[in-house]
Amino acid sequence: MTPQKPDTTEIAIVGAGPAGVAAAVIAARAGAAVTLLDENTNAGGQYYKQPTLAESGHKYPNSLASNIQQGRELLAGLNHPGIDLQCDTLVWNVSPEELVLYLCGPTGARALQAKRIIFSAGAYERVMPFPGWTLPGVIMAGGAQLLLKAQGLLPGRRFLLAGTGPLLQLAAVQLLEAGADIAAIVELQPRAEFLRTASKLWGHWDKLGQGIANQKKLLQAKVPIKYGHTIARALGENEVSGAVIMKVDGDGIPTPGSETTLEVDSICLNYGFIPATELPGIAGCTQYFDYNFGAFATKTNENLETSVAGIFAAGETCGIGGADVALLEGQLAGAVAARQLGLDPETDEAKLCQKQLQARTVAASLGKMFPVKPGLCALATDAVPVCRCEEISAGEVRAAIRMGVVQLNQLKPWTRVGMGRCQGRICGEILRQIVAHETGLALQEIQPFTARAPVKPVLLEEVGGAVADTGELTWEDHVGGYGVART
Amino acid sequence: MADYQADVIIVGGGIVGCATAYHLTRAGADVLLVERDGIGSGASGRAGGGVRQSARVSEEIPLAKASVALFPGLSDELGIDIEYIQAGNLRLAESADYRRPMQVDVARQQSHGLDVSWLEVADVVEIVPALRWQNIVGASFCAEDGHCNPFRLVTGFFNKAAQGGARVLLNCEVQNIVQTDSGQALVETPSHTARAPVVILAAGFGSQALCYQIGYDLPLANVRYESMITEPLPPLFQQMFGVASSDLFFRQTSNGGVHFGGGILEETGQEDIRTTSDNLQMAVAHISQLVTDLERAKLLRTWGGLDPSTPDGMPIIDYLNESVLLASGFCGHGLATGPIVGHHLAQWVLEGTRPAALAAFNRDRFDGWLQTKWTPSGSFAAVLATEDTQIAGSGAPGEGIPFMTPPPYEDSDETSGPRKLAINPQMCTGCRMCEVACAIKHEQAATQVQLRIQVVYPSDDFFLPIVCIHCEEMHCLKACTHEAMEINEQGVVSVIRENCTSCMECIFVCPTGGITHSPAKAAVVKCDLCDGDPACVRYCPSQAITFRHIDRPAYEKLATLMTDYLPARETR
Repeated sequence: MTPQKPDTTEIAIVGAGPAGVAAAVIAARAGAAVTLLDENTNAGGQYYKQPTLAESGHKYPNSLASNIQQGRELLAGLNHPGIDLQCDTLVWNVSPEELVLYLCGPTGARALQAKRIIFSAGAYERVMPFPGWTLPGVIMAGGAQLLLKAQGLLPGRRFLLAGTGPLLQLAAVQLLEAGADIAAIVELQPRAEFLRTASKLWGHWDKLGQGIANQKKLLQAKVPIKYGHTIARALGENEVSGAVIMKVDGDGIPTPGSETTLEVDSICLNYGFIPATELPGIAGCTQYFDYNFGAFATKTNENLETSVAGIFAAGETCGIGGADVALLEGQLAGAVAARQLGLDPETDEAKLCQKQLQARTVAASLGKMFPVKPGLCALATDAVPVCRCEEISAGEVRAAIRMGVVQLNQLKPWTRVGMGRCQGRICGEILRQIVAHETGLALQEIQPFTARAPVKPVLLEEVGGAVADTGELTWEDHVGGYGVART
Repeated sequence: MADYQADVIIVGGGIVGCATAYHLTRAGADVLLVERDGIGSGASGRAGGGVRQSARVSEEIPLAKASVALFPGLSDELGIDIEYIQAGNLRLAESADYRRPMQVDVARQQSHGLDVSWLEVADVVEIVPALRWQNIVGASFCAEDGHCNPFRLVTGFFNKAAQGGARVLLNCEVQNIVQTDSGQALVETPSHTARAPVVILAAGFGSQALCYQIGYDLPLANVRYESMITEPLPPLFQQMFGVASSDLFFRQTSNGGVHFGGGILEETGQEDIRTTSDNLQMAVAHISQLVTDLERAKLLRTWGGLDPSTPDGMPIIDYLNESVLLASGFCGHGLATGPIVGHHLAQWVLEGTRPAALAAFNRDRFDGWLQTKWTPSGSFAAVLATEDTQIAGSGAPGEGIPFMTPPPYEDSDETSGPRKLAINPQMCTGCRMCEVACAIKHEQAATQVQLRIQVVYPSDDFFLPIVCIHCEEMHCLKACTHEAMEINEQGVVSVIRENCTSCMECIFVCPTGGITHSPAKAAVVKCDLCDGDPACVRYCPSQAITFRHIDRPAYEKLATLMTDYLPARETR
């Protein structure tokens, strides 16, 4: 291992989704040298994921085709000499003081020093556990969408979509158009509540219009939408062969005796999204609790600057908002970052700010429409695994909570939850719900797992390889004292 | 009226607090355990997991031995698998520089009855084939050492204490401990108050703030530890490992992950559990040189640890007043010694007399210690910070260390005349303790070393401290034209600083390099034999420097040695 000087760039953007791409395009057009990093093979993120299939006449459902087309137009902007797009590149650590990102990718491990960093890492889908949720055949609705979009694959034949939120209906339409059979859509929110809160979108015709169009298509296809229901169990020995759904009350507690069994071979879940805040977390950016979506997110000011100098956050990372918000925030962050470097992005940031705030307001109302209800934790009976990597059951977690272990960081060593390969990305939010349900603590009182490097597991040789040149520093005589023998 | 009344209140739910709570409840005491965060959320739960007796300071060895004896039975006793593996501890030496110092240290430990031995590299790789032998010279090996799952150890004690009736306040920070007129201590938290005749303060670094309120300035520095763990791997080794060159440790946990990490000596004035890229990369680079093919394993997680350290690397276990019993500053050794410390603390509280095993850890030992900038945890400067602290063997200088061959000066029949520094390069391990001792004695700081005495390293296995040999010729005295040198009745030449003009004449005429120039003092400096009690002699762990009468041939031999090896001295 020879220490090497970090590569340098002016603006480093982590995540090439709508926000990252928009930021890169604006900043590069203003004249900044931009490095756009993404761990996926292609830019576009999840929302604008582009088909990997050859273009040879594969016919996409209408609802997907327009999305793919929009994405293609956006991504065309990346064809700019100022943008260095590096895909298949994982950013696994960040040094906030020097604004250095640690990468590993096709060309090995490197360090990248930037003058400004924009985190636009997107979000993860939220899942709630129930008996059978780890069976093959249970996937996330967004995952099903991606298989369809990127690979043209249908993950099953007969589907149940369960959870809460607008994605369920959209995904159902897309699956339907691709030729799938939809057994039912199970929406957690009761119909009356859904209609009442939907009125808050009055005036936001595009969102409302999309929703109504989706409903219309589902109605035409005679897809039953079960409001006020939840999936209670996935049936099957080695893979999903059916699902049991149940009515829930206002708190999300399943009503005994209301079980209905459906015959399906694929269950798609979605309970909303959780911001990906690992890198801002490692950098020490202040986090806040987003009450609209019930999750911690990165705090920014109106210019999308985080609490750490030189670091911006845009899109889902600073609170769930959807692609529209992400595009606006990407532009804003890119423009502000470029201007701070003495360039002129030729945009009106004040106007962007205003538009972004409006879009955030709409997103917030959508978020409030589909809260995750803590009563759902009752579905995760003691034998149900909640940490898949370490195979820790809900019962073990509850036993720990009874011993007074009420913070995620305390649960971790006590039960080994979150210690596995996913590093708590999947179980973290499940645990927060369970602790809140068991102890009566508010969700925001339960702190997330401490964010630590590596963001995702990396080879030791990649860690050892990405050494920033810090002058005389070697492992033998570290300035801080590493290498001093003590007894 | 207090919310809680108990026989004993324990502040801190780490290994010491939980083990003490366990032993107290077993004896029938009414215990209240108050913890700021969760059980084992401080240094204990973040620990490296080593359970070792070897490579400890001498005073701590008996305690560590007694504790290690408890470990094999703990899983059964606590009803929880603490994942204890007693397969030995290897402290790896990666260069020949460490061979002699480590062999000396092995001898010291053997003198305390520890079964430690020095292994050459061939023997090391026979025990652990997964090591990269190319990068190893040898290792000290203690077969009775091992490692365990730190968190399960702490929770095991906690669960048993809770089952035994101990009451517990978690996520509850103690803000103050006040002495009441009734002879009881009142413990205040934001939500509760509790009263008890005895409060055991075992809050690690958190004890410092509480001690300060009581009026005791607890000498603690926070050393930051960082730990890393790989994904589960096939079995590689069962031993616990340390290295001589740094704080790196590693072990394979029972689920297969290789847990490794190291310490950063930073005198942060506060608890610091950050992890940094620099330390991560250094530790990864270091362990990759020691374990074969580990670079192809994936790093899964990292976390920050705590290591509250005292100046001499040993805990402070003592009463602060009538009711507050402090047990903190375990310097990263608390996990291994905690089980026995818990036993002794419970005994102390119940019987009212200090157990003999805890006698070495009194707080008086820091009374009047030099307020110099000290580096934590057993470093040379720290040991020297107090004149009363002895290193290696806790006896007067001159007590035998079995490894040592008798100094050749024993042959000298000379018993008259002034005593001189007798230096035996064959005994010198190159540890440079003399330099630090001298600097602290004369400059009250460990920073200006190498002034009056300096160890030269002409080769890998030959070390020689260069110092004034107090020759009879006294070239310096004769050469000084500024009346800046004087001689006392013992025949020791010393510098009169006010008169010295830094003309360097004395330095040029001295054939053995006994005089150097101190830019800070703007004067030359030389050895003055510390008024008959030389610090270098007192703190030389291997007795390479002794203060005795030497005969003419020995003295001449020494003068020749000094002159010969003077060119190896670093120029300032």
